[in-house]
Amino acid sequence: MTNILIFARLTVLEAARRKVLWALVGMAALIIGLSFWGFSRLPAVHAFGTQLSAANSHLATAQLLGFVLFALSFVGALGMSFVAAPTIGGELESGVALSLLARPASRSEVLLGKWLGLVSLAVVYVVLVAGAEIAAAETGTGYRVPDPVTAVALLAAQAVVLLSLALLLSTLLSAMAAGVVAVGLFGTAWVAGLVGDIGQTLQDSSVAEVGTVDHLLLPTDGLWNGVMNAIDQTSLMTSFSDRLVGNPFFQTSGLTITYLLWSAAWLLAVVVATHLRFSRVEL
Amino acid sequence: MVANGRRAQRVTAIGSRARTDAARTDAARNDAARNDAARTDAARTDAADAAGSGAARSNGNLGVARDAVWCSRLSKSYGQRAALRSVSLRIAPGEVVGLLGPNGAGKSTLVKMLVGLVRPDSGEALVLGAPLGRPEARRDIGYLPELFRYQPWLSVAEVLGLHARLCPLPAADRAGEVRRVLARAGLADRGPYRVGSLSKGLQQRLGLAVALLGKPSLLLLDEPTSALDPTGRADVRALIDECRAEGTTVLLNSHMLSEVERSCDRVIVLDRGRVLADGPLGAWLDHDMLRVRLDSDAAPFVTCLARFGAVSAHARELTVASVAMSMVPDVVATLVGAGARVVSVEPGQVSLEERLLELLARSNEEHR
Repeated sequence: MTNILIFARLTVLEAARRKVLWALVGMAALIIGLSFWGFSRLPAVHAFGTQLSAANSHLATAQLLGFVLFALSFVGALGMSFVAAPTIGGELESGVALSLLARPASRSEVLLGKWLGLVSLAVVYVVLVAGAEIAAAETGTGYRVPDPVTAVALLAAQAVVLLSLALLLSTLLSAMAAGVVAVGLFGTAWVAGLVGDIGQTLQDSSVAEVGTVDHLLLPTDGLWNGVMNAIDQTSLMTSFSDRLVGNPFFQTSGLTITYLLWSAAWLLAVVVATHLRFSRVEL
Repeated sequence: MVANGRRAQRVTAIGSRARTDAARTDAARNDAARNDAARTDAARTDAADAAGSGAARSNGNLGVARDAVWCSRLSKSYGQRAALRSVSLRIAPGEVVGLLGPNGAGKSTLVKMLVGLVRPDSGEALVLGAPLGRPEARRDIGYLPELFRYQPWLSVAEVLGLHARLCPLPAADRAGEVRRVLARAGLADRGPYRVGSLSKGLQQRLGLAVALLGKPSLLLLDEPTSALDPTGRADVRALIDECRAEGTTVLLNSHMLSEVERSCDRVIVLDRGRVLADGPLGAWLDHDMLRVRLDSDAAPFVTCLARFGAVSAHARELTVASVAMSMVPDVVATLVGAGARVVSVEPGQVSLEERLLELLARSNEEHR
């Protein structure tokens, strides 16, 4: 356990020393600041010469909040992928791993320590920025997110899924390639999820299945749908569900326990695969 | 003066080993026979390892636990390329062993295997009594990799602190141990410096400090002076001497043959992944050699001197290896009898470099 904590601390320290933390916090502060300004202006917005109704204002807030959270999660995904990928791949390439792996720490301790450090970074980042964004939305417009804990938890889970994937890829590819592929897969999964939503809108089962398969292969977009469901008030779902079907920032149904279990199993499988691969890496 | 004194002691030590060797062996043995003997040593190690391997399996490794390093038939291939082919060797506790061989001979692969960074395809090995790959096998090993890289975003003291925790050293001892190895590696005032700001030579000194943490029983140094200046190389030699005095086992992989010649008790030569020779340094160096200069081309006279030892000709010079000084008059008489005109006769000693090049040349010829 001690060795796991040593490597976890080292990973966090590296992110801080390499100014990745500050870059993430700086980008998040910029996005949150701008969105807070936008939220505070929203109640005064007029549509076709008339002030927005409370329902429309809440709808606009929920949509804007979803959009900003997506921007934050994208910054987080980008950041975590490019932090996670060199954590193992970079050290293997540079030779830093030679002296570390020659110490009496097992490779599973090294891997779990690094994973734990990355997970800590991701969770702290998501909790801080998503929490601040949800608070900014409520302060600016009075829109209260119905289930902020679930929203933040699923957003954090999405980040953990992605960084775990980046870690696995970094044992297979160069650090740079692993980062690029992880971000690419994140974007592809989001687009595939969108295609699935369009399939549902059009009631075309074959197109809708694209989304289902996507959510099974890489749970980032599936978890994202859960985030959207957690930030949309029930009244919005009732009032606007017909008009917003297929909208990626609007979800009427929450995640099932089965899907959450699948996501957990997926995560476990990726971590185990990373361990199996890392334990066989030769330097 | 101190260095000269050490050198004189070393020469004396080699001389005494040479006398012992001379007593054991035939004074007139030729170079080829000596190389054969070195190979025979390796073969003997194989046989012993085969026996040891059985002992390891049947007696829970007790039979070979006394060796600092015990390897039996280690093999490793990367795709079609064999890096190690059935390598067997033993290193006794406290020995300082030089690992030599051309680039790609498998030296670094062997060293990495001993610290669990590379897994053998086949074969067995014990390091300090523990099987390869287990964390406990690395508990008492200091390792300086050939590619020495440390976290550039940490300070020198932080890198050492990290390795002290991973060793693991007791918390109360860490600060003192870090100060000790910093001073020992010549980095006493560099503790707060970021690793990324250090020169390559200073980073290699940091690597030495990392390897020395916790006074390991086995020190594996892979090209420890490749980036060091002459002062740094002298420091490494002094460090190895200190390790020897403290009873630390050292495996020194180096292309700097003068370093090996000055520091090691024994030399193991790898070539094409095989142990080409394995024997005490004295057996390599302490043999009489004769240089004979003629007033004409020396090549025609090689054959007539063959009975005295291994003969090589270069322009007007003949080199006769392993010939006793008492045989010099006979050598000269033989040459004169064969029609040669002798200009000078000069006794000499074969350097490790000459011996290694000769051995590798023979190996190359055999593989043609």
